[in-house]
Amino acid sequence: MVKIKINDKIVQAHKWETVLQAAKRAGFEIPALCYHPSLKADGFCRLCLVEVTKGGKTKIDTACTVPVKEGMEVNLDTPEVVKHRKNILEMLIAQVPDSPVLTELAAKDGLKDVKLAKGEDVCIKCGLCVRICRERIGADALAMQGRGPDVTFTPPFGEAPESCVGCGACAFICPVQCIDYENNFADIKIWGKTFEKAVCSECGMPLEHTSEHIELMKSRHEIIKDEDVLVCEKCSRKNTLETMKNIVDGQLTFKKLGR
Amino acid sequence: MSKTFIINPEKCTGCRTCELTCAYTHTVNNQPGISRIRAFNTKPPMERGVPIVCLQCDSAACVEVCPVGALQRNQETGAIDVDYERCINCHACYSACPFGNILIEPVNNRIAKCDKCGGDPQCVKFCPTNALEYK
Repeated sequence: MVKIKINDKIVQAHKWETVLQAAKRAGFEIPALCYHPSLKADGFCRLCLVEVTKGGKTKIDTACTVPVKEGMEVNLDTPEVVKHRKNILEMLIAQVPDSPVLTELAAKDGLKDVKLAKGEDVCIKCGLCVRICRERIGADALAMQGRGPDVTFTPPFGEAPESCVGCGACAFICPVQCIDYENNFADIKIWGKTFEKAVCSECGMPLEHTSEHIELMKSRHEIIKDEDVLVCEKCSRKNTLETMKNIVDGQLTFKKLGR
Repeated sequence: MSKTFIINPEKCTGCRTCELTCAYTHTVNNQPGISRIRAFNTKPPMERGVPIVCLQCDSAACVEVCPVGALQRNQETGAIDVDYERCINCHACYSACPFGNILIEPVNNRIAKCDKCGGDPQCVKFCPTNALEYK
């Protein structure tokens, strides 16, 4: 464990943690839009600025990318940090004017009017959708394209992605909810592609997932079997009930079940 | 070893008090529809209910399949708890559960599962016939 000082409070942090993780665990609030606990931090949104003093040197850095170090001092709300954060927030709002998340953050920091020219974008370019799809879901259907201010996070060439499985994780994780995702009774629409949902092998009702997503899950995890995953929640409960009933009646034993 | 649920189907009358208790403990508006425990009424000749609740499996499919590690065993209670900060709502655990014991809250589309009420399950306390035990 490493000891660091956050706003004059001594915090015990793990060696592998970043300042943001340690602060969050200790109950401090740092605004961050591109941070997700299960992804490696990339420092895209720049909102989590803090003042870090390490070895006698003080600088302003993003809390999500700075690893903790013994004796480090962190200040979350110095006037300079707030000033820089307001600037970054102003630029984000100028880029994406109609986002409720950004408006809420601005209200918290006391940012009233945005002087920069307002754009018409809906994406804040945090890259979470690309990272979750690549690192966690394993579909790798999205990519970062272009550079500088023209960067976009879309499927390759802006076309309907071939490897997308329609899991909807990108739409859920997006901090400004800018990805169109439609989860209907029997289909899922995302990135200009329509997926049919798989159907329950017993009652024929549509399941929660597309068959592409189920195939992906099966290839990544051995524990997933067709008889579990291709049966809807209601039917699996019924099967459990049936098994229990048979055990009580004495028609079935645990030996027969193989448990 | 942590305590676990013991279900006695022969004692259950299907009164569904456990469902109500769960709804009052876990949901904001006390909706029994999203209770983590379900008492199923079986058809004749048994004509009883059987409470079905998460079994907190030792090698759990939901834990294994979660792409972000949001489902983890709470060492104190032995229950598998959901870390909603990590969860990305892909519902893989919902499909993977062989018993159908993870449900999706229709209100906010998030998953919900039994967390043993943090080690003090309320449904057990209110079960009038001791069909549910916790030991």
